[in-house]
Amino acid sequence: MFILVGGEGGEAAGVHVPELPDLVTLLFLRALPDASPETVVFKLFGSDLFAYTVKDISTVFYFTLALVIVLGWAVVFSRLVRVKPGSRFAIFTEWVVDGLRRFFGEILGAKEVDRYIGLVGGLFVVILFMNFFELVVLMKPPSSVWGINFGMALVVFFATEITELVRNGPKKYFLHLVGYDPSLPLVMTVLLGALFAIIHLMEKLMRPVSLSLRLFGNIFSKDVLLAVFGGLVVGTVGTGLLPKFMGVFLYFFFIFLAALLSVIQAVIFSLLSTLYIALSLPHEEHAHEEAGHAA
Amino acid sequence: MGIPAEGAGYALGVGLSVIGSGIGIGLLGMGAMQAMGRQPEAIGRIQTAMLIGAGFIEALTLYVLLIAFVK
Repeated sequence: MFILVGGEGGEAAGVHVPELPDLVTLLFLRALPDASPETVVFKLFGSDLFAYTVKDISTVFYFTLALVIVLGWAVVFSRLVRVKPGSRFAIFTEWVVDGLRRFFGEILGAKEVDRYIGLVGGLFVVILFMNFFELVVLMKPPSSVWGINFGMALVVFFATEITELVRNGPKKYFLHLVGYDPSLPLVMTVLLGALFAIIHLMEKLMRPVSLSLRLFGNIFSKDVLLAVFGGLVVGTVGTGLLPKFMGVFLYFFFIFLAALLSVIQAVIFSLLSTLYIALSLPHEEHAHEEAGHAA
Repeated sequence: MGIPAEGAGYALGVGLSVIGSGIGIGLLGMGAMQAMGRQPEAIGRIQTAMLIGAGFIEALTLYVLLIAFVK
């Protein structure tokens, strides 16, 4: 069936997970004889480790497209074009940026927002665009492949660790990792410290995994949902089960659900990243002391 | 029986995890409705927080669905 192209998962079980077709995959399937999305197109350095399939190429293509759109918007607005201050483009962009600054400024604090809004706000806009690729015909969201999400989560992970190291200093970073309590005797400190460090390290390592799995799970299953119900809609239009226009109305509901989930997941990813970064910034010690003196 | 055994296992797992997340989102919605009733001027912020919380809880069910798709 031309609509349902076999997906990546389920290859192990021999069952094809249906996915919507997209332009790059279709072009490849037209050009190469007897191909599928798992066909290896080229091997970098001739080794199997760097074998890229059709699916990889289409994913990277759409990811690059999302980045080009967002970065192009930013570059055009800030440097290339002399934008009139009252024009709709300027007002819209300023509204977006100001809204992002206010939304993330509540968590980061007004002093630190400008330093990290590039990373966090950029993540939000790029993920929003990538998720909305789902809803455009013949385009595939690159976040339906786990690698892309894991890459973004790793960026956030390294950002938080480096922020904590640089802002707090290596000594405080190590003490926070170990959970240092100066009131305990030495032996207890070392033992508890080792235990606490293991737990803390595992929690740190789980963060990118959970961030990426959440976004990947949502977008991939949304993709499959749209593909399966698209197949059902097309399948029932010809038969007498549903009148012709009902199928489209049903599908509209699923597209609406997909759009809502896209926005929510983009917000959650960037909000969690902001929270992790805010937690790794130096804490305000003065407020606690003042409250202690006042009480 | 026409149902393959391994497919039935995954479907059962998804169904069980949906019970938990259904209860969770229901409790979240109840708390949000009560808060909105007490402070109608904070409805916008409560709504935003509720949607974000619902996204987290739903993601837990989607982990199970993902395993069902990938296997």
